[in-house]
Amino acid sequence: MGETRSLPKTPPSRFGSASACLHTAIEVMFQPFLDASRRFLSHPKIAALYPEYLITLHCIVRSSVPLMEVALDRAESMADSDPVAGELTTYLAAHIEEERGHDQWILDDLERLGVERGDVLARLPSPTVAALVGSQYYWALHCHPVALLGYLMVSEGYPVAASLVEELVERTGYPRDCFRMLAEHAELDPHHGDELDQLLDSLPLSEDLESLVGLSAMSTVGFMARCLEEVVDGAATALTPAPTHD
Amino acid sequence: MGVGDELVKLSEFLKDPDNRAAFSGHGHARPAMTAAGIDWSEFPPNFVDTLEKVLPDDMGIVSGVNVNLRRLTAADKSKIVQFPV
Repeated sequence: MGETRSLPKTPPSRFGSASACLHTAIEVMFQPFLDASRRFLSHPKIAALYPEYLITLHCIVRSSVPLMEVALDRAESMADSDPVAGELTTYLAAHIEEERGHDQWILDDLERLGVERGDVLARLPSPTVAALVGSQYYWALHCHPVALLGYLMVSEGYPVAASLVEELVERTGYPRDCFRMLAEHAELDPHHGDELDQLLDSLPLSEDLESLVGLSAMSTVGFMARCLEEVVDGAATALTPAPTHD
Repeated sequence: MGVGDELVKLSEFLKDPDNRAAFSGHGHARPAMTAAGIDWSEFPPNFVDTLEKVLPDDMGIVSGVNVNLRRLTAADKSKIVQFPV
């Protein structure tokens, strides 16, 4: 993450810093996501669900860099008169490079599981995935690109635990090299979440923009929960692939 | 009483679909909570405003069976099947 320009900090309210308020808003909405996670992890067909989860993840992640690029373009167009947008440009330009190519990691994991890239790319993303990502495009283009920080905070502020990756390796029986995407993010995202906290607390956010970030985050939790529920609900038709070995 | 206690009360309140309907919509949440004896001043102001927007049942984010508003524990966080974007 590149260095950020110094901006006057928004004074913390009695409720805490902007990042603390955002974490409260995110966490109180998390129960459906926790429930879906529990259903996934305890499912007897978890070996069949894991590739389906990766395919859904790919549908989401292939939009990450394009989405951030749209937000960056919008922030750059506003930066002269908007200090929040100006600060975002620095963050997004650096974060785009950090995230570039991660969609390929997922395709690699799936290929090692025996799922062809063409089959993954041919899969139609669900309306829930489109709503999850599409709402971010809308807010970035038509409200303010700072909304994207709510989306990123849900994901990077609550990273996959290394212990969960180990649990998945054990439960699915797949080779460890089929879990690169999750393993890398278990290591990277705690740092990215800390950076997001620092960025949020440095931005001179108005109440409206703070609400927008909160709305983005809270709806992201809901949509992600539904994405995972859809994976689990598809268990009846999910096929267990045969991993390839080098 | 603190934010945790008020979240528990709010969770119970929102389990009733009629209460959710009364809560949803711009400017409705605070009067509805006051009438139910919930001290909304414990919540960050942006949280209440945002919850009004995401609460309708057709958003699918909050439903009667899912209303359990609380902070996450370390154990919760270790079991999130995240979508790392």
